[in-house]
Amino acid sequence: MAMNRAMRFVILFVFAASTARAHQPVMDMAPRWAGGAGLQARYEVQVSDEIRAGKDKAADSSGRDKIVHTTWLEGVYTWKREVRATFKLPIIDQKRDAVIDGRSIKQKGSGVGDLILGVPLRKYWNLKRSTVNVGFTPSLRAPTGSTSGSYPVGDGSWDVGLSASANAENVFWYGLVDLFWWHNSSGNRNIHEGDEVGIDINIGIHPYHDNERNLGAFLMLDIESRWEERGRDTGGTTGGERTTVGPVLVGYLNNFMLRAEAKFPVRENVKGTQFSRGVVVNLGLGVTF
Amino acid sequence: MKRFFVEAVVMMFVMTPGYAFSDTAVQVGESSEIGSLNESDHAPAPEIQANHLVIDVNGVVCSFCAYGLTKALGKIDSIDTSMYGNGVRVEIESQRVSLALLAERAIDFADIFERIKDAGYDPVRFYFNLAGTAAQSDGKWVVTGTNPRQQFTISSGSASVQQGKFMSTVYVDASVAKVAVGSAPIEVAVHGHE
Repeated sequence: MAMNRAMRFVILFVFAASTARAHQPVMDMAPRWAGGAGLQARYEVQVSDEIRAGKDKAADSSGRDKIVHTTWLEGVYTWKREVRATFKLPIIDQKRDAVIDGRSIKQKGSGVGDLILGVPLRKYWNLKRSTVNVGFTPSLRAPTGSTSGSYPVGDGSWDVGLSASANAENVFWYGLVDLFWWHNSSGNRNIHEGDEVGIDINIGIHPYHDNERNLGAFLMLDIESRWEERGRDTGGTTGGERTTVGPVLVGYLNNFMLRAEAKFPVRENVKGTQFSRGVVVNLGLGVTF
Repeated sequence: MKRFFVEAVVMMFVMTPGYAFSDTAVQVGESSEIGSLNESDHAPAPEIQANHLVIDVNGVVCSFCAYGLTKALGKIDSIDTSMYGNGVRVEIESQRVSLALLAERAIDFADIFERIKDAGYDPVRFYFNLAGTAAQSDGKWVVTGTNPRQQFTISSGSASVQQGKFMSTVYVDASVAKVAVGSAPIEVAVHGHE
């Protein structure tokens, strides 16, 4: 499948990269007030010890693994609730066992990755018992990460795309749907990951809240599916279809928020032979002011 | 690819909880007439403590997201910061914001309205206890308030008003609060006597 030139032409907005989640920093919707800002540090670890071939587990999976540690530094500024600006900067430490020309080699890389900038644009409706918003987020991924080494943290390309989201919540229920698309340009060293589309759904409840102390928690289920065109990086073929599911727990106290989540692959159909997405665990701490 | 986008857009709107669209949006300035208090429009009418302003606010369903609202309202000059930490209490179950006010000050309704809007929410109605002296002027009841210290005209519920001492719970609709600047009397409705 190839994104044709007409499609590229029609897409006017810039967009999020493959390694970036669709979510915006600090609980997606915060800060909501004009002149507000938020910062978040999020630690993510991805662990995979399974090799996939298409829909199936590859015959030779033993002994190989892939571990990616990423510390995301994220921020958001709200001019007004309809217009925000966000940044996400990954600091990566990663390693994997790759098979290149029949030989098994260990690859690793570390450093600051590619910076992602976004401009979430939203339209809100405050209803009697709930609040709803829809939005578009253009983002740009800049090639700030190094492309050197066996497992580079960047790919040297400027990437663009667009997401569309819808959110609705009341005192007890929370729902978010985000459609994302990105165009990944060809980078350095023949690295060229494929274009990608995806959908991310969060459904959950707000089971606890204390008005006096402004303390509470959300419990959600995250479901994400993405379809990525065939591409390549220094480890071989990239791309395929993946669906992950996992729980999300968000706790808050006044203007501080803690977010913990885990994602598990439930369906994968990869291009060529690749590592499974594996298990991804996130832990983030954010503050608004 | 085209089919995916069509299906995804459909899924997006199906997954967004339908209850959120079942509410009737209340937009400031639209048919929010003084005197048309419908007890079921929001939570049941609040009990108003002395020196408090209680505001029905649409959209306040998450206090983490309302932190900026709390912060902005806490900076109002007439706030009594000795209560609730900074004088502001948000109750997400009833979608009400309570402001503890210093006694015998005027209430700047327009300023409070704008602060709530800037915080990303929509004020609907402002309730408070009005104490003062009522007198007729040009066929209307005018209350010269001692707490808060400003003038009000009774636009609804006037059948309950008598010359002289006045003490009752009243409310100001958001459409009136928005433009309540200067020293002109502010229109209020007497709660429970519309």
